[in-house]
Amino acid sequence: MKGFIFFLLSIVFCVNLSFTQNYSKEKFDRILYYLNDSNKPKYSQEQRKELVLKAKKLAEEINSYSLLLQCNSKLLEYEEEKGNTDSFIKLSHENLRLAEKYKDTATIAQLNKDIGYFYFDKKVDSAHFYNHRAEKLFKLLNDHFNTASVLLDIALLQRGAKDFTGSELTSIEGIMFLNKIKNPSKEVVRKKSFFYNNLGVVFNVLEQYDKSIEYQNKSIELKLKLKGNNKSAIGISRNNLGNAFKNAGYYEKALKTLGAILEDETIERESPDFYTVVLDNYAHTLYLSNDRETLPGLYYKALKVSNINGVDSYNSIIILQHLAEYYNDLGLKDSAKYYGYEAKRIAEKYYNDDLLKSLLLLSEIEEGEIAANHLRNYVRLNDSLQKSERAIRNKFTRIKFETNEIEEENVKIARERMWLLIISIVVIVASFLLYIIFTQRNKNKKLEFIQQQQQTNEEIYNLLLAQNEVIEDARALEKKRISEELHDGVLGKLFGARLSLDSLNTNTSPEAMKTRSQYIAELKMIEEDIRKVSHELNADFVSGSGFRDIIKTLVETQTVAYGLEYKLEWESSIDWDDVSNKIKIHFYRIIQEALHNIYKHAKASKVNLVFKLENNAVCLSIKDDGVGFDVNRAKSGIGLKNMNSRIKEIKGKINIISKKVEGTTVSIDVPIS
Amino acid sequence: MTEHIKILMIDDHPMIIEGYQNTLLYTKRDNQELQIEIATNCDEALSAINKAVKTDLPYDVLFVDISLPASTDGSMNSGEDLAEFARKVLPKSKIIILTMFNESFRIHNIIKTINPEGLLIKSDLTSNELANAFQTVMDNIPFYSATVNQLIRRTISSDIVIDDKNRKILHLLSQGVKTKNLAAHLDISLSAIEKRKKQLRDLFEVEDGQDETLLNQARKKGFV
Repeated sequence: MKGFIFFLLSIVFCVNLSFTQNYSKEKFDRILYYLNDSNKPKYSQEQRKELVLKAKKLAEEINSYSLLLQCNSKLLEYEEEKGNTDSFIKLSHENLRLAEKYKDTATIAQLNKDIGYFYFDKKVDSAHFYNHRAEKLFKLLNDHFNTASVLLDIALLQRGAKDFTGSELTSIEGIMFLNKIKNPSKEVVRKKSFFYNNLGVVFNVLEQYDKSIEYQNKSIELKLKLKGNNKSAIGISRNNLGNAFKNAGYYEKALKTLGAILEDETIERESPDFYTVVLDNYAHTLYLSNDRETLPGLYYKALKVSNINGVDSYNSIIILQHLAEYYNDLGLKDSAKYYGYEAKRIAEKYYNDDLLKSLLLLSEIEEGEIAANHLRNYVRLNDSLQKSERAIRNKFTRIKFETNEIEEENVKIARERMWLLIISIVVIVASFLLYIIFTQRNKNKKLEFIQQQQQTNEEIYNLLLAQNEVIEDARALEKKRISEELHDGVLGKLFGARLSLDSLNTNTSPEAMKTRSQYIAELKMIEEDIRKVSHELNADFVSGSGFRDIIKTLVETQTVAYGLEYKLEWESSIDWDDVSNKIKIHFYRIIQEALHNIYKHAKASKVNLVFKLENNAVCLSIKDDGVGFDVNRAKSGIGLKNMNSRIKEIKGKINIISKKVEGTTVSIDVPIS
Repeated sequence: MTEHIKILMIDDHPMIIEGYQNTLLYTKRDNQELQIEIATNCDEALSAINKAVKTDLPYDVLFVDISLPASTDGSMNSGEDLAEFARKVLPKSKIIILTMFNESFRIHNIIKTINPEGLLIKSDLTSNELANAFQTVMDNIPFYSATVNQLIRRTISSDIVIDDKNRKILHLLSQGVKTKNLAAHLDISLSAIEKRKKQLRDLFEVEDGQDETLLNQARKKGFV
């Protein structure tokens, strides 16, 4: 019946299991379907988002980490496209939590990188924070490429915060990581070229133009190796190279480099911003090399392209500054002032180095109080900018330090956890061992006790056996005696009588008759003899004396050893031969124990032992005249425990009555048969 | 012609001697005159025999009981010793052994050491048989009780031959003597006894190795 129920249960369980499996399989398929659909261009962005959300809900139901992650990444893409900062951050953090829950370090690192990248042009310190995290994790994962990518972002951020040395170091570290990659891919080369570009720019700012030129050349070299459309990238590097030449005073080379860029006529159309920068650079180089034929026409051209849609552009600032500088040089103060103020006006929007430059320029163009004013403003602005830069740099350092600290803390926690684990394992193992040792010892003790008990039992048993043998011998002797008596006495007489009667049988003389009656009388006497022998046979003189003798010997020797007087009484005749050896052995031991206890504790001088038979139970009472004891308190003593266990084994009862001064009586009732 | 027959009856039970006397007196041939002397222990018997030797008046017939109290000087332990002595000193006297023992070993021994003219087992003895035995012996013909004859025949007819020591072992075992105590009786080592017992077991084809079975077999074949 039980088996059947179990069978039913297991069937139900199996069905249930397969059902759940089917169920999740179905959901799984649906998720994949939704995700697949969301990639199709026929849906609008909103519809696609809807599909992904549906998939996400299902993924949550079946608790599939990878699918959930996939859905979230898709959603992230949409949010990023829309530039929805809050949603993007929210989703990213959701993903982060998920990845942390599953300890998916690679994903955590990637998410940190993505968030850092997201913040790159929005919140510098946050970007720095996430980038640092990503960097650590990628380093941990030995992912050199991603480490380098993050380092590139960090280097750019540092450059932006004017931490040029930091940026330089980071760039070199990044290049080192990229160099570790065997068989570099296109992306690796591209990243490397970016690093070189960054180094070129940094050294340009640091006025180490030779180095700047060297790095820019390297960058261009790498970029040229790359296939595909990287014209603008090359252009940027070339522009930077030209700048470096210009700053280094190699005007010829600068003009050649910049001119090469401008030769490409598509550039004006394709990236007008870049075109204006290069053109301005070119014009400025000409200005610096005192080749002013084409000036200020080129400046105007650049300004025109920069202002193409009538809005002030950032690039205009520097062109305007250059124009003001040009006119100031020519002594055309008004024009210079016009362009100078124009530059300042636009630069004020950005509140950065360009405003600083404008102020400096104006202080040179203006005279007297106005110039001084501009100079003062310049100093103030410079201080403020430097302060904020320093603050950002400090923040960067702090972030780095904090991430390090967190890392260290993590390591510390991990180490603590390991120690905790080791200690708990040690404790568990130790306690387990202790437990085993303890139980083993207990077991051994018990075994030893049993062994001891058995040994004493055996001794007593042997004693009983020896006693039995003595009895047996005595019996044999008695048998022999009786046999001899029969043989020699009775049988001889009987034979004689028979022989005589036989010989007189046929004789009828009165003499013979008299003799016969004599022999008949003789026969009577023989009868008497036989009766006597029979009686002797009947009275088994040794029956049951064996155990009594043993007990007597025991009590005798014990009391002599303990210096006690004793009285041993057998109130009723007990047929000890019918009592099992087990009971006899236990009686022996109990008496031994009791006498020992009396000697040890009672300070008695007399002991009285009485055996009785009552209601088919052997009753033994052992009474002493010692000091007595508190029965309840002494119950836990080993001696009493032993006695109790022995009594229990032979299904008997023990009763101890003890009174101070009067002595103790131990009564034992053991049913026999 | 009156035949004068001098008889010595040795038995420790006066009743038995009386029985012998009664029987012989009632059944003697008319021409026989019996002169019966009595000895109830070894000492008396010994002095009677010695006197007969000294006076050169040997007994014609000696009735000897086997179980007798030992002589005071310790030279005679039983009727067997007595008979042996008598055979030596009174070679012409006829000896009739009367014994309660009907065990093969004892009978065998008696025949071997004394070779009496008559051997009677008390338990199956009637007055007729006693008279018959007396007369037969007097006619110079040996007379053995039927039990003895049977025993002898059985031993002879079986192909089992055992020596005295083994015979004694069987006897002692049948008496209930334990194997470990046999050594003392036989004056040989315990291992020798075990060897002999094994021999006996092989002889009597005892397979279970029990003394009981061995004795039963030996009894059946007349060795006990």
